[in-house]
Amino acid sequence: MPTDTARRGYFDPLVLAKIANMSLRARHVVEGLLSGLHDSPYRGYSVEFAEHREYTPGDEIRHIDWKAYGKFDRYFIKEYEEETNLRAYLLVDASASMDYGSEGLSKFDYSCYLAASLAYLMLHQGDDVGLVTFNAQVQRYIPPRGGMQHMHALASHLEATRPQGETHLDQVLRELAGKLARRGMIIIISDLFDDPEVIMRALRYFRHRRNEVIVFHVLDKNELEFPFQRLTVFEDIEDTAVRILSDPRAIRAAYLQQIEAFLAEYQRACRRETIDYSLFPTTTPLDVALTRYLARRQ
Amino acid sequence: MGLTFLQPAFLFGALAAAVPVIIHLIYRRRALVHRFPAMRFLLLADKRTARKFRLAQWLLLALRMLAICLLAFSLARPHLTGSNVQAAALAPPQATVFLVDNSLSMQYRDGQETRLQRAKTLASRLVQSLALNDSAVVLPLLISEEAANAPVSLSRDQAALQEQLAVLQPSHATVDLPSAFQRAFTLLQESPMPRRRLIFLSDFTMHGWEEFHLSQLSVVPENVTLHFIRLGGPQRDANVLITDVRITEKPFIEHAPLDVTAVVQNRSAKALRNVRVDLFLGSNAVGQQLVDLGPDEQLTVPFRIAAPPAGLHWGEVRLEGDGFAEDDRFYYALRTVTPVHVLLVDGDPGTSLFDSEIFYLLQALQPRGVLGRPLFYPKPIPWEGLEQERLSDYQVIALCNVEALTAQVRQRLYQFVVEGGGGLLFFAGNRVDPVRYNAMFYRSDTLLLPLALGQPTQRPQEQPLAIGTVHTAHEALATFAGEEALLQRGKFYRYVTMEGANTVPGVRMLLALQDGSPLLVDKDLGRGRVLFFAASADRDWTDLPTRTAYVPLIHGLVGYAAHLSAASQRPGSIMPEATRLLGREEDDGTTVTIRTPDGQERLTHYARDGALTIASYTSYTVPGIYRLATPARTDFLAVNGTRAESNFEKIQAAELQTRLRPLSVVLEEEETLGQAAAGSALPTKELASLVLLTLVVVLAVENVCANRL
Repeated sequence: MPTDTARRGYFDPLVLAKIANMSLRARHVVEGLLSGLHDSPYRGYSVEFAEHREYTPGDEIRHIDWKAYGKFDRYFIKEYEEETNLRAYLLVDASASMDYGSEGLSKFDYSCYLAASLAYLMLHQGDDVGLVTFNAQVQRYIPPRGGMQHMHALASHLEATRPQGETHLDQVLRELAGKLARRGMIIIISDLFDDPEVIMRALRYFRHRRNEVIVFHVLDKNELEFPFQRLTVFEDIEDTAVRILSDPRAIRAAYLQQIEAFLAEYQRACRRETIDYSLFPTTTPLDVALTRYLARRQ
Repeated sequence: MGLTFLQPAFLFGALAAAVPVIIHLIYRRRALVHRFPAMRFLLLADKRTARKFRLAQWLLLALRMLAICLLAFSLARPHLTGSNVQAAALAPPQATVFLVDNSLSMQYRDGQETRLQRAKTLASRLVQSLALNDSAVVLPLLISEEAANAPVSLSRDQAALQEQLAVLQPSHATVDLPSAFQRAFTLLQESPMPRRRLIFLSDFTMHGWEEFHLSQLSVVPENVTLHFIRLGGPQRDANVLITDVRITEKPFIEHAPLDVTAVVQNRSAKALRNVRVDLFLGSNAVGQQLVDLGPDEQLTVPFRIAAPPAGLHWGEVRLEGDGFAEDDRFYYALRTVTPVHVLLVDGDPGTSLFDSEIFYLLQALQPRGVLGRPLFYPKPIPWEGLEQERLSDYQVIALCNVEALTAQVRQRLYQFVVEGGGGLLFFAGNRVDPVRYNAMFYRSDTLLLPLALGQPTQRPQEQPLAIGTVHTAHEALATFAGEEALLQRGKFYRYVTMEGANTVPGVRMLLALQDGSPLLVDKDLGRGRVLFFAASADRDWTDLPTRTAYVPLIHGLVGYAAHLSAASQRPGSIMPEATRLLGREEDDGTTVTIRTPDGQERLTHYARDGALTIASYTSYTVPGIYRLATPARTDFLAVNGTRAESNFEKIQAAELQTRLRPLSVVLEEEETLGQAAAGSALPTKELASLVLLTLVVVLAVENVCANRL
C-alpha cells in the first residue's frame, strides 16, 4: 500500500505532467485513488449476474436466491453487474485563457488531466462518458459511450486539443442543450471567465432538465493570489489589443477583491441551483477532484 | 526681499532632480510584458485604484525631486536678504547715497558680466531693500561736468532710483575720489534724516586712492556710516595691455617699409606665454606676433609692414582678449605720401652740370630715401624751360639764381603756391637783382617773396660770416635740434639783405647770420609755403653746399615746403586728456567738424594761443578713430582709452580704514554680501538650516508614502 507521500505523488499534477500518455495519466490517478479506498460494496443491480454472496442480516429478502438455498441449504444473495443509467458529459474549456499557467502547468493541462481521470473512473465504473471541448463554440463533441475502449478516444482528443480563441460558455451550453437529449451528469471544467449571470442561466436550464451539474472551476495560482511585484504590462491572453501598464502592488488588493467577488458569486449561484461547485487551483491534487465526484455520485 | 547664495554652483545639483524621472522612464521601458487571462478583473481593479495610485506616485516623485532640490539648495547656502524689512520699517528713516564706481576698471569681466553690471544689480537689490520712509540717491563715481552741475536730491521713489541705476554708464574720466565723496557727503549733510549712510560699490583698485584722505573733504556729515562693497575680490587681477603704438622713420612714403612698434605690458604677478598681438591696418590683419611676458614686464613688439598708398589711414593693435578688454586695443592713424617731385630751375646753367647753379641741390636730393625708397624726385631744368612745365606735377619748385620770369609764369607760380599748396624756394645769386625781384615777386598780385629784398652785402674774403641763429623749433630745421654747430660751420661771403624780418607778420626767420641778417625766411602763403635763402644754392656765395649740414638742410627745406610732416603718425590722444590740434595761423576761427567712431558729430574751433593756433577737443565718446574735417583739409585723430585704470592692484581693508579715519568702514565682498554679523549693507538671514529641516521632513513624508504604496 502506498504511503501518504507516495499517494500524493499519484495525484500531483506536476508529477502527472511527466507521464506522456493521457490514458496512462488517468489510470495512474484512478488506480492510485482506488487503491487508497476500502473495497467498495457498491454494486449495482442489473440484469447481468455477477456473483453470489452469503446473506447477511439487513439484505432484502427478495434478493435471496432460493435456488441456491435449495442446493446449498444456505441463504445466498444473488448479485448482478450493475447496468448503469448514468451518462456523464465532460465539458472542457479549450479557450485561450485556459492556456495560462504559472508553474509549468496550464489550466488546460490540469483540466485535461482532471477530465481524463474522471472519464477513466466513470468508464471503470461502467458509466457512459461523453466529451465536449469548446471555446466560443463547441469544438468537438464525442457522444457518451461505455467501455474502457472509449477511453482511448477521449484521451486522444484531449491530447490533440490546443486551447485557443475566446470563451462564450453560455453559447456553448445553449448549443449543447439541444444535443444532450437524455439527462445525465454534466461536468463543466472551465475557468468560467464569462458573465456569471449568463452562465448560471444556461446551467439552470440543465438543472431544470434534471441533469446533475458539477462545476470544476479551474484557476491558476497567479489568478487567485496575484503575486506580481514589478511594474508590468498585462496583456489579455485572448485579445492582445487589451493591455495595461500597472504596478501590481498598487492594484493587488482591488484585484483580489474583484476575483473573490467573482468566485463568491458563482458559489452563491451554484448553491442556489444545487449545482456542485468546486474551485480547483491548478495546484490541487487530482484525487481531491475525483473524491468530489465520487461523493456526488453516491 | 531677495535670495542670495554663497555657493551658487551647487544649484546645478538641482538638475539631479531629473534622476527619479529618468529612473521611472527606464523602468517603464523595461516593464515586463505578462499575458494574463483575468484581465477583466485587472481592468476593474486598475480603474478603481489607478487614479489614487497615480496621485500617490506623482506625490512620491514630487517628494523625491523636492528632496534632491532641497539638498542642492542647502548646499548652495541660501541667504535671505532684506529680511529685516519689517524691522527697518519701524526704525527711524535713513538717507542713503549709493556711490557706484563707473571708472573704466569696473569694465573688468570675471565672468559674463562686467563688474559695473554686477554693481548695478547689487545696488538694485539694495534699493529694493530700502524701507518706505528711507530716501536715497544713486551717484556715479565719475560724472560729467554738465551732470555735476545738475541738481541732485535724495528721493523715496524707488522707480526713480532704479532709473538712475539703469542709465549709469562707464566713464573714461580720471578718478576723482575727493569730489565724489564730497558730492555724496554734501547730500547726506543736507538730509534731515536721523540716520545717514554711504554705500560705495567699487572694485577698489589703487588708482585714485593713493593721495586720498578723508581730511581733504570739507564736509563730513555726522552720524554717517560707510558701507563699502567690493566687486571682484581683494586680490590683484591679471591684465595685459597695450600702452603705446609708435611708427618710426618719417615721412611715410607709400609702399615703403614701415616699422610699427607696439608696447605691451603685463600688469600681473604671473608670467604669460604666447600672448597674441595682432596688427591691423584698417580692418585688415597685417601682422601677428606671439610674445612671452614675465610678471610686470613691458615689451616692445615690432612689426614691419609695407606703407599703404598715399593718403590717410588708420589701424589698431589688438591683444587677445583678457578680463579687461578696454586696454587690449590701441588705435593709431597715419598719412602716407608719394615721393616729392621737385623742379629745380637753374637760373645760371653752366657748360657742365658741375658748373650749373643747381648741381649741389641736385646732389643733395639725389640720394635714395629711407629704407631704399626714393624720397625725392628732382628734375633740373633751365629757367627758360619753366614756361613749358606743368607745375601741378610737382610739390616743390626751387628757383635758383633765376634772373627774371614772365608775368604769366609768375602768375602760375602764385597759383601753384596759394591754391595748389605747393612749396616755392628762392635761392639768391648774382643774377638776382633785388630791385627787379621786388618788382616781380613782392607785389600785390604775385606776392611770393616773404620779405622785400635789400641790396647784397659782400663780406671780405677773410671775414666771412657764419650762421648765428638756428630756429630748431621750426619743422624744417628740427633735424638740427642740438646739432646747430653743423650748420654754423658754413661760411658766407655774400648774401642778400631783407627788410622787416621781425616786423612783417607771418614771416618766420629760420636762420640768421652772425650779424643778425636773415639768411632763411619763410611764410605760409595760401595753402602753400614760400622760403627765401639769402645766399646762393651753389658755392658762389657760401661754402655751405660742401658741408655735412647741406643735405639735411635741403631735405628739411624741401620736406617742409612739400608738407611732408603731414606724412607721419596722426595726432593721438588718451582719454580723457584734451587733444590740442595744431593749426596754421590762417586757421584761426576755423571750425573743425569731428565725427566720432560711434557716429556722432562734434564741433571745435581753432583759436590763437600765444604764437600757436590750437583747436582743443575733449568731448570723446568712445575710443577709436575720430575724423577731423576743416574746409581746407581732413585728418584722423586716434583716441585711446585711459591706461590709468589698467592696474588692478587693490587697496586693502586696513589701508582703506586708515584713509577714512575717523569714520569706520564696513567692507564687504560681493560674494559674501549680507553675511557680516552686524552692520551689513544688505542684512540677510541664513536659510540652510531651515532648508535642511525641510529636507528631513520631506524625506520622512516620502518614506511614509513609499511604505504605503
